[in-house]
Order: sequence, then C-alpha cells, then structure tokens
Amino acid sequence: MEMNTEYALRTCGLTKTYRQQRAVDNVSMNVRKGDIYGFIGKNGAGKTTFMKMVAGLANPTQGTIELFGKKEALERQRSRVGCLIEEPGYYPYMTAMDNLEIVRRNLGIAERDITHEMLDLVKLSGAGKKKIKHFSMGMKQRLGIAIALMRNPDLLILDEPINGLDPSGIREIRDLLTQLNRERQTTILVSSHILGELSKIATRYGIIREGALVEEFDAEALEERCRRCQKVVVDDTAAAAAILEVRFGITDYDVPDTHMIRIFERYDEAEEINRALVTGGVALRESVLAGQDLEGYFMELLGSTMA
Amino acid sequence: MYNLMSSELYKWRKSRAFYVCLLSALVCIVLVWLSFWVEDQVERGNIENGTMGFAVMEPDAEGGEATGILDDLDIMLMIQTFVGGGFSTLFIALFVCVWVVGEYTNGAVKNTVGKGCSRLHVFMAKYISSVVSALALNLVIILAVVLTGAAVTGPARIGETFWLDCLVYAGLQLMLGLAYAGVIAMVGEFTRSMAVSIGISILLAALSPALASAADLIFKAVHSDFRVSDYWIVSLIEHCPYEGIDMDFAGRAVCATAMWMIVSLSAGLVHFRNADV
Repeated sequence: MEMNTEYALRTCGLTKTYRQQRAVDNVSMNVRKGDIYGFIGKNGAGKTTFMKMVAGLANPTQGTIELFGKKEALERQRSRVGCLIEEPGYYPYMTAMDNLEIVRRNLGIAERDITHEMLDLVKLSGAGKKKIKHFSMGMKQRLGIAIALMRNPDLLILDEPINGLDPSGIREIRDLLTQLNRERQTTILVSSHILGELSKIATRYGIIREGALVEEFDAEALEERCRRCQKVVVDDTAAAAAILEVRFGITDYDVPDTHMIRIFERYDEAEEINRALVTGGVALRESVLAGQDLEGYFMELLGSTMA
Repeated sequence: MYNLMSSELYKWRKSRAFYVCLLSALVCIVLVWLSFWVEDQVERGNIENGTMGFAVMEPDAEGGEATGILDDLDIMLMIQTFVGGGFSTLFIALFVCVWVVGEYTNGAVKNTVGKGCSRLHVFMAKYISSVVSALALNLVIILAVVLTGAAVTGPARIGETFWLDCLVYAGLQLMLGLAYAGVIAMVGEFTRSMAVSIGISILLAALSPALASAADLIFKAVHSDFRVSDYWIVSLIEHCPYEGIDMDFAGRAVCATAMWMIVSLSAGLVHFRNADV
C-alpha cells in the first residue's frame, strides 16, 4: 500500500527554531497526490511557518522536504507549487492586471491572456484596472489566489485563504478549490480557522499543536470518529446483537471489541434498547451516547478553544 | 534570470518612485539655475532689485559694464555640485531604498522566491535593476544640469575642453554611482525596513565622507599612509575632480567601484539566501 502511494509533499522531522523557541517541532507530514489536506491548529501553532518552509520562504533548522517524490533540486520542484501564505503579496500602486503581469513575467509564462483568465477565475475581471490599494480585503485575497494559481500548480498551499471573504466569496473559493482538485487533480494544502468550511472540502487532515503534528487522518476516519452512536458494553455481544436485529430491526451496528457494540441508528431510542437488552437476559454493564460535531472534535484535539 | 529581469523592467516602467525622484531632481536643478539667473539679472540691473529676495549692492556710480553671478559660474562646477555634492546620491538612496525594501513592505517578494527561481537570481535581478536605475538617475541629472546650464548661461560659456571634461567626469561619477547604489541595495536588503534603510542611506550620503576623513586622521596619527577616504565610495564621489583628472584617481575609482560592488553584492546575496522572507 505504502509502496504504491504517490505523495505531493512529504516532510521528515521538519523543525524551525527561532532562537530558543521551536516554532515547528519535528513535523513529518504526508500529503498524497490529489489530497485536499486540511491543516488545523491554533494561532501560533506553527502552521504558517511550516507552510513557509515548504514554499521555500523560510529555511528549515532541521529535517527534510520532499516534493513530488524528490528531495533534491527543491527550487525546481517548487515551480510546480503555488502558494498564498499570510497576506497576498502585491504592489499597491499598481493595478490587479499589472500585478498579474509581473507574476506572469517572473514565471516565464508565454501566454499573455493568462492574466485575464486568472482574473475571471477569481471573479475579479471587473477590477483588473483598479489599483490594489483601493481593493477590499476580500478582493486582495482573491488576487492572492489568482497569483497562486498562475502556471497551473500541481500543489497549492493556501494559508487561511478565506480570510476576509464574505459568505458568497467563501463559497466561491470552496467551489473553486473543489473544482481544481477534481478537474486538474491539484493537490491542496489548506489551513483555516473555519473548521466547518474546511470539513466540506478536505479529504485528509493534519492537526498541529505547539509546533508538533499530533495527528493525521482521512476524512473517512474523521467521519467515523464523529459519528453519533450508542455504545453498549455487555457480557454477550452475540445475544445483544440478536435482540437488536430481531426486536428493533437494527442492522447498522458494529462490534469493535468482544464486549462492546456501537449502534449507529435509532440512538434516540436508547432507553428502550437498554430495557430490551436487560429483559432479554443480557448483562448491560454500560450504555452511553457517543460522538460529537466536527468543531467539538477538533477542539478536543487542539487541546483548548481556538484562538 | 531573463524572466526576472523582464519583470524588473516592467516594475521599473510602472514605478512611481522612479519618476517622482527624477521629477523632483529635475525641478530642483531648474529652480537652482533659475535662482542664479534671477540673481544675475538683478546684479545686472535688468530686473528690480529685491526680486525673489535677491538684493545686491547698487553698481558703482562710475558705471562700467555690470557683471552678474553667471559670469563666474561654470557648468562643470554646477555638475560637480549636483552630482558630487550629495544631491544625486540623496535621490539615488531614496529610490533604491524604495525599490529594494518595497518588495518586502507588501510581501511581493513572496511571489518570486520559491517559484522555481534560485534566490541568487532573484537578488541579482534586484541588484542589477537598482544599479541601472541609479545610472539612469545620475545620467539624467547630469544632462539636465548641462542643458539647463547651457540655456541659462548661453552656449558661448561651453569652452573647448568642456565636453571632454564633462565626459570623463560623468563617466567616473556614473561608475561610482553604480557601487553607491549597490551599497544602498545591500543596506535595504539587510534592514528590510523603509524608515531604517532611508535613515542609514542618508547618513551614508551626508556623514560618511566626514567619518572617512576622521578615520584618515586616525591612520595618520598611527603613522600609516592608508587613507579610508581614498577607497570609500561616497568620499570618492565627493572628491572626484572635474578637470585634470589624474590616472591615480581614476585607478582608485575603478578599484573602489569594483570592490564595493563585489562586497555589496556578495553580502546582499548571502543575507538574502539565508534570511527568511
């Protein structure tokens, strides 16, 4: 399985130290090709510093970065990476079109119309001749995304891309990212504080806390963990399962260990189920309703409330 | 590298800072010449005494041909005043600081670094565009002084040796200006702060020749023949003679230019390569 997996980005023991402070601590991240990787952490957890190192804006103190399977010639590999980290970079006294033209020249893109295409893509075509200093925060953010998308990157790194966007803007960016991922197979590493939004698009998650990557898991695993269920601990799972199926017609359950059953349906009838198990001769040792919403789950992982 | 230079050229064409610096310098030059012309006319009695604040003693009662300040003013002297006297160095410093630090102020450098171009090329492109801009600024300032001077004093004041002196002096100043712009670009890269880099650059332009002279005195006190001001770029800009330039000075100017360009480029490159963006 591991042998066949292709990775857009892998880091091994990536560390960044500022004086005595470890901003990023021994992070080993695996972003598979085609993933939309949601990178989650509190303010100051090290998300931006990590992204900067991957994008080549900051030098790692320790550790290695592998882009598209290559650890060498990273500068060349980074030509396949687009990024929007912290605030978008721009020249405020120039128009959006001029800013994109500068990036086009920097990247050596021959196709002149790409500036118009990018403005269309981020719904800024009407503001191409407007100076950036007159842009709203949301418009600047869209321009930053347009800059990141120039040269059609294989890996897109976005740090809080929906900051400053209104609800319709957030939806447009979400749709755009999903579209890029689906149609161009763009791998996306995205951080956001808006966990609900992130959970709508991410296929994989990484949780960073105090500079360290505490966990990586797939969207399916997250769904599984957050799925509401009734957990019952009994002496005889076979007998309990028979009661569930015959008396209640419940089929959506699993038996994770020899004494536990997780029931994923009709958990609003927990009291009746408990009574039926007991009257059916099953020794019921424990019965709890488990599972929580995404936000609650993330909060638990992050250790405290989001900053 | 070609892509980066093409991008720098585009930015340069769109740069307000360059045109503002250029326009301000040209306005200053024209105003200075204009004030000399007014003073000259007042001295000759062609316009009323006290015009624009220029008051002169009444001409002698015995008469005789009235003289004006322009009779004593040499265009070459004016070129030296503008180019060697801290005027053009100030404008170069202002522009190069804005040009280099501006990349960091709004994070635009992030659109270049880590996009498949080596950091070495990114800084080289910025450095080259800085020194070429300084060359253009100096060249336009010299041309403006010559043209305005010729218009104010009359073409007859341009002597036989003027063009040769002007060519040699301008050539040396343009060359020294390259190294000066390189040093300012290095300061901008190290500080990455508009206020700090402009402050340091102004100090370099205004005070460094005096400090170099003070260092000369210290070396002299310890019986050393070495003179800092012989190799410090701003001192050379200030002390560059505008006529009768000897080979010794020209040689030192070439050496100092090469040395300071290598130093500023190397130090800037090392810093840019190692520092985070």
